[in-house]
Amino acid sequence: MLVHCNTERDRLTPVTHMDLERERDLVKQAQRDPTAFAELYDHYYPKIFGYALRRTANLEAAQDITSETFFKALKGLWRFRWRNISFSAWLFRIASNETAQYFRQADYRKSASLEVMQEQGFEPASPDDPHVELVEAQEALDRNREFRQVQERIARLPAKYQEVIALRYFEHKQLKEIAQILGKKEGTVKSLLHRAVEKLRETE
Amino acid sequence: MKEEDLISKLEDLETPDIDLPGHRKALRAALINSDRFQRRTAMGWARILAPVAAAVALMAVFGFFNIIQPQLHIAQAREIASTDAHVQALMTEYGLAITEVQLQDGEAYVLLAPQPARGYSEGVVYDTDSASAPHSQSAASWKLTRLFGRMFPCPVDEHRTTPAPAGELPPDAEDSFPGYVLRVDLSSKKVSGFLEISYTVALSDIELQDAHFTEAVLPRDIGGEEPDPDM
Repeated sequence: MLVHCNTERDRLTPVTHMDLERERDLVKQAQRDPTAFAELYDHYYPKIFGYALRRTANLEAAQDITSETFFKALKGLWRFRWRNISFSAWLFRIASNETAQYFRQADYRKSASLEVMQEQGFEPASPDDPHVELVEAQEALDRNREFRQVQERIARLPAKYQEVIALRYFEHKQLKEIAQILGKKEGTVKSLLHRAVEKLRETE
Repeated sequence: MKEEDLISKLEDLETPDIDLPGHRKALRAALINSDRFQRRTAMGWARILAPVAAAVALMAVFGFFNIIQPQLHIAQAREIASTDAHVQALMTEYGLAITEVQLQDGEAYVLLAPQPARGYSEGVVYDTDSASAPHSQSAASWKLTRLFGRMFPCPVDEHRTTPAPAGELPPDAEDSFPGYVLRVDLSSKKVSGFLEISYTVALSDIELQDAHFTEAVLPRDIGGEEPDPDM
């Protein structure tokens, strides 16, 4: 298990982005080629899992949301067209929708796609003990008290405010990208963010 | 807390960045091994297409035996009857025409009835149940009829010259020759039986299974010739 912390210092370091042309090619190839899909997955798994975890502060939910996001992306990849939205924004949009579903449904399915495959006889070979891994991850999550407190306050807000705060301050997305993810105009996102911060202040 | 302070706090907040290698690897393997990437072998395609092909074949067989084949048999029976010399003589002599063909229990029955005089059926709506017959072809058509001072389209059943209820002769029945029902053997392609009817009805009104067909007609007079008893 790897544990890092995102700080302001981390954000100043240039983030390695996948070359846009390379990503376009991969998305095109990934519809048929598992190797291409695997490369996209390796690049985006930490981002999506991290986003789901920072939204929910729940490891199991984050795993479920991440699994569903990638299965849905795989299923809908043939529909994806590089027009007004990047692949990254498209993945975050799926993850956002899944997270909203998690908050709406008390009995959000537990890794449905992964479990179904395992029920059908698929045995992923992994040297890591998932139980030990989860326990250690939970301890790491619990140590982040300040984040937990803020996250609990954010979780009390309506979903539209939660996602805009998480995308802006936890995922460090620009307004333009948030607008792409949420399918809203930049101005709308800006005012939504302003209201979200106000609402968060009221929870103090 | 001021808004600026809250924003600063959010921006500087240390957020957990936890990785679960076990889940990451398991999900990766599950995605790569999903059906989406399974190459379809010939056997795989066969498994997918077999039910579709079976359904299409069933529909084709069903369609052939229930729609195409009956129509072919009806046309064949009409052809056999109309080319039979004996039947031709009856048609010529009595002004009869083939007005209905029906398939029943593997046999074809042809109704030879007088060609209706123009306007005879006008204004009379008959209760024909030929529509309920399994496979029949009737010569019903539509005519405008005056009823209650207005014109209405009414079906004209050209093969029936008597209104239902059956049993009552039409006004001019005595003046017209009612006709025959022919039994056509489709396998040997010949007319195998004749049944003289007392007045023209629809084939569906006749108990064809119980009817006594004769091998030949002893007509009142067919062109002055005696029928061949061996026929």
